[in-house]
Amino acid sequence: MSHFTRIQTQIRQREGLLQALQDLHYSYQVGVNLPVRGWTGTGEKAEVVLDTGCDYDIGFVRRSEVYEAVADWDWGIERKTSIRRKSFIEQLNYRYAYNNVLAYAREENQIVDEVVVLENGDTRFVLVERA
Amino acid sequence: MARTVITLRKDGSQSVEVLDAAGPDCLRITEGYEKRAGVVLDRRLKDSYHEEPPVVVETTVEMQR
Repeated sequence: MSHFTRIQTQIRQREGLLQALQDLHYSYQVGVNLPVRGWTGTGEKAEVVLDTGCDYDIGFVRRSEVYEAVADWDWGIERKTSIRRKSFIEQLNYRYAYNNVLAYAREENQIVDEVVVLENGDTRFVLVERA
Repeated sequence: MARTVITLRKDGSQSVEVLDAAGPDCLRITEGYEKRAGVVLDRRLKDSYHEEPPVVVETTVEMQR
């Protein structure tokens, strides 16, 4: 008998968010109430603001325990850059989750016994408790 | 020894299954991982391990505007 759980990844730790952005080769600013430039010029304020290479930004705002991406996607980001909202969010979540698994193994003193990329592109980790 | 199998989907969603652990240990490990990974979409008991087919679920980093 085993437990099986499906989980919707949430970005909860700023350091993990920053590491995932670095891994994906994005540059960013970190601060307090950084402006996120958007279509109306009345952009939101964020803790992390991504350099998109144009005059529209992608920001990350902490709401409750979770970081949310805020941007003027349709009229700004997707028109002026090659960044696409859906793939950007998916890649970021994947990278964050990947690093999070490794961090979990380190903190819980578990051995990463296997990391396999499956045919469908999913990645499977097998962690084993130390004896 | 308990083994934890974690599968990451390309959309950033994931599944976790704990094998070879007694009930309380299995639950402790499962809940420990769930707590740091995100929101639980569903959890169930299985009689045996089977690799799950890919599932597509919404990701949580929400878009504004």
